[in-house]
Formats: sequence, structure tokens, C-alpha cells
Amino acid sequence: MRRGWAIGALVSLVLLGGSESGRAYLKLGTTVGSRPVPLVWGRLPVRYYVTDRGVAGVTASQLHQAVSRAFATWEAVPTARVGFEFAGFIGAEPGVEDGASTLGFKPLEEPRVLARTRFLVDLATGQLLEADVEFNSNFPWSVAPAGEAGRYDLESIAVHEIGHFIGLGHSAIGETELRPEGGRRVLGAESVMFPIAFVAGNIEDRRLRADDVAGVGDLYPAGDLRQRTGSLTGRVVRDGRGVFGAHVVAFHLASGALVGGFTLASSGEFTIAGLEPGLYLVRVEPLDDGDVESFLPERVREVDLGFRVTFAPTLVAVPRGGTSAPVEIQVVAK
Amino acid sequence: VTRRALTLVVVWLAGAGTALGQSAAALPGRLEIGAGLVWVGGGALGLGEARLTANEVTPTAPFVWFRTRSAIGAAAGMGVRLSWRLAGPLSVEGLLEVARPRVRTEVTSDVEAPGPILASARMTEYALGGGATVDLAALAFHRGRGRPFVGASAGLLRQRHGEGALVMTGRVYHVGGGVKYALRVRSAGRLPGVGLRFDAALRVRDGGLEVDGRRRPAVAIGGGAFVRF
Repeated sequence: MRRGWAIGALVSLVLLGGSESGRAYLKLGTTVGSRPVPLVWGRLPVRYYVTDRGVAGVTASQLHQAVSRAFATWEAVPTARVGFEFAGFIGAEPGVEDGASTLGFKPLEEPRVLARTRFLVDLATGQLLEADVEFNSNFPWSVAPAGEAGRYDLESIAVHEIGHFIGLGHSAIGETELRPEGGRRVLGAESVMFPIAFVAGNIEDRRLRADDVAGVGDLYPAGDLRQRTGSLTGRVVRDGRGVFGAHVVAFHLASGALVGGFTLASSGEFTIAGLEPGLYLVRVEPLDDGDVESFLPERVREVDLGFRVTFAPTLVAVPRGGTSAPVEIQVVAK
Repeated sequence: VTRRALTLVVVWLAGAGTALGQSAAALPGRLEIGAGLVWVGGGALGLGEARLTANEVTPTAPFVWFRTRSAIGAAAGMGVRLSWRLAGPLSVEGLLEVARPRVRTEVTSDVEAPGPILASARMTEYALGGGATVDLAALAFHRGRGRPFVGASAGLLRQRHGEGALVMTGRVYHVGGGVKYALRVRSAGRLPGVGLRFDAALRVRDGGLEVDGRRRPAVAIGGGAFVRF
């Protein structure tokens, strides 16, 4: 068995391309032979440990309770079959290859990283063997039910990291602005998997959004999910050529749900799966609301950022259990 | 609200039928088959918002990414009717209408794209239902050949989007009236009567494609020919 470590939150793994390109979501993946495969857990429920140490304001027991609630949030998605089991407290730090998936606090050197997830992968099958979540103990944390001004909500950040823990990459459904002092400020986001956290004290990311639900359902589909939902497919082109790395968002006219995907092939093709049947408005934007590295680290140079936000000229019908007619969206240079 | 309105109209129609049935004879014949063209007016489907959770400690309002305004356009189509006169001026009828309206969504206020932007798609809409009509014999004209009527119907709505890949269903209600004009009156059980029919109604969709869930009436106008046996 070949095994390899990778850091999930700062994704250094291969993001799926080719035939699996962009099905609803960025999924973490690896290549087995020449075949891209998603990183998923082969055996469920996934057993996890929690470190037996807390930090200022958060005891080990409160850490356990917060991550348990975060795991339960993902388990509660009715369209996905994913499960977790608390195996106990552990003395070892997260990030150590010991066969135990561990969540805990640890000082991280990166000054702007709240938390990260590391994986141990069976490179022969692409299956996850171990995933460790490291919460940066250099930040102030809170487990207060209503949040706490000036402190980051542990449960919210845990929900995001557990998204990585189960194999999801980042979502780009959000809007940011550059800060004069550097970095970006989030104006709004509609996915817990958006790579930049809300301000300290905010607890909104304790709940999943439509984009997150589509993502986990795509990785771990429950029962007849494929029959109950549909896919939206199409192509983004600029001057007759496919656009790589465009962010495509499907807006459900009836419910207002937003689910995103990406063009992950040079042809500019995309597919967004796990959608509620209905009529959709499709919006395409360049991947400029976060560092491109946080979405497509392996192919940063290929990502086209030089086009305008564009809407598909046609509304797209997504059928139950099927795929829409392909929609072509022509974008123009900024 | 729609059901209450429909109930009131049907009750009123029944009352009118009793009174008018005593005042004048109906056109000869009981079975009427008609076909013609319909025009269904457009109407709003509602406003929508693409909402992002605002980045505040305690968000009080969403960050609106963009807004939408959706509507169904007016469309012409075809319709067929089968009517049976029960007694006096009262008839029951079944109807099937098919039209191909365009659904339009205008995008406004996108934070990054100057608007407005328009996206649209055509759908095929079927209305299959049944109802009742009452001849207003007291208002007949041209020696009884022209007969105003009022009527109401309820039926099933079926919308096919994306070349039939997506089907939405609901109900549809019509309340209105019109006039029938007999070009030839059915004679002694031999030749069927022939005539023209024009009607106008308020049409309310309940279900199918909805954006804000509100039901809004649209005007539907029809015209065609019928034969009466």
C-alpha cells in the first residue's frame, strides 16, 4: 500500500479533471495510474479522535462537543450517506501519521490560517486512510452558543474543515473586496466551504447551504439521490475557445438556491450535479474572489481571470434524474 | 382566495342558470365540439434574490448578489372543447389548450455585471380541464343566433421545459364569458349546427413554474368554430 500525506485546507492534492470535471463541486482527488479519482472514505462510519487538550476558553470536552456537532451537521444531510463515530480522546497531536484521524488544537506557522486538514491517502486506490484537522491555537476561539465577539467560532470552522475531511474542496460562492492593508474581506458567502472565514464572532457557518449539500451528496450519494436530482451541463467559451477555471453558479429560480461548479477542462465544459429539478439561471464569473491557489493549486497559470461576469442567455431546465440540454455561455474580455 | 372566488362564481352561475333557463330556449342540440385559437396574456412570476450570508458578527440582512424579475410572456396557442348541454342554458364542457409561452428572467443589480440582463426559455403549456357554462338567453341577439354566456372551469396544468426534459404540474382556473354565434342552426336531427365562439377569461395558474408562490390572474382570449349535434 502506497501512502502519502497531503494538506487539504491549503489544497495540494490533485483536483479532479477530465471526465469527472467539476461535478457540482471541487472535490479533492488524486490520480490512480492515469485515472483521476475523488478522495473518499471507503469505510463508514469514519472513526475520529479528539485531542485531550484545549486552549484558552475551550476545554478538551468543549472541543469534543463542538466537533461532534459539526460532524452531526454533515451527517444530517438527507441526500448523503456519510457517518462518523467518536473513538475517544487521544494524547497525540493531529498531523501525525498514526492511523487515527484526529482533531485538535495546534500552533500553526501560517499567520492567516485558522485551521487546516491533512490527509493520509492510499495512492493505489485513492481512498482516505486518515485525516487530521489542526485548529490554529494562535487564534482566539469560542464555543459560546451565540458566538463571542472577537473570537472565532470553533463549530463553524470545524464544519468547514470536516467538509475537507470528507473530500470536498473549496467553493467559490462568495463575494470579496481587497483590503487596503492586504488580503481580502468577505462581503458575503453562501457556502461553508468558501475559503475565507467570516469575521470573528460570526456563527453562520454552523449551517450548511445548498452548495454544501450538493457537494456532500455528490461525493456520498444516498439511495436514489441521482434519480431525485438532476445535472446542469454546458460550456464556457471566449473567442471560440474553452475557458478553464471559470466559476459557474446555478441559481434556482423557484427557491433561490445557489450551487456552484467550475470549468475544469480546457474545453470549458462543466457539469453541476445534485441539483433540485427546476429552471435555472446560470452565472459565470472569473475566479477572482479568493486566491486561485485555494481553488485550483495545480493549475493556477491556466485559470482565465480576464473576462466579465456573464449570464447564460437561456434559462436552463434541469430534469429529475437527468441532465439539462447543454448551454453555451460566451464571455468577453474585461 | 382562488378557491373562494371560484366557489362564488359557480354558485352565481347556478343561480343565473335557473333564472335564465326559464326565459328562453337554448340553441338546438346537446353535443358541441369546438376548436380554435387561444391567446394567453403574460404575467409576472415574481421577484427573486441571490442572497449571500453577509459577513457581519450578527448578520441582519443578506448580501444580495443579484436580483431577478421573472415573467411569463403572452403566447398564442390552440384549444379544443367538448360541451354537453345538461338542461336549459346549463352546459358542461371539457377543454384542452396548448400554448408555448416564453419565460423571461431579467437580472438586475448584479454586484459585478451592469444590467439589465435577460435570460429566457420557451416552454410548452397544457391546460386540461372541465367546467360549466350558462347561456345568457335573455341577452340573446340577432333572432337568438347570438348567445352570450358565462362560464368557469378548473383543470390540470402541465408545463414542459427544456424540450420536455423537465415537467412541472399544477392547476389552472378560468372564469369568464363570451358569445356564441350560430351560423347555421341544427335542423331536425339532420345537419349539425355550426357556429363561432369567442370568449375571454381570467386565467389563474396554481403551481407549475413559480418564483414567489403568488397567484396572479392573466387574461385569456379565444376564438374558434364549433359544430353542434
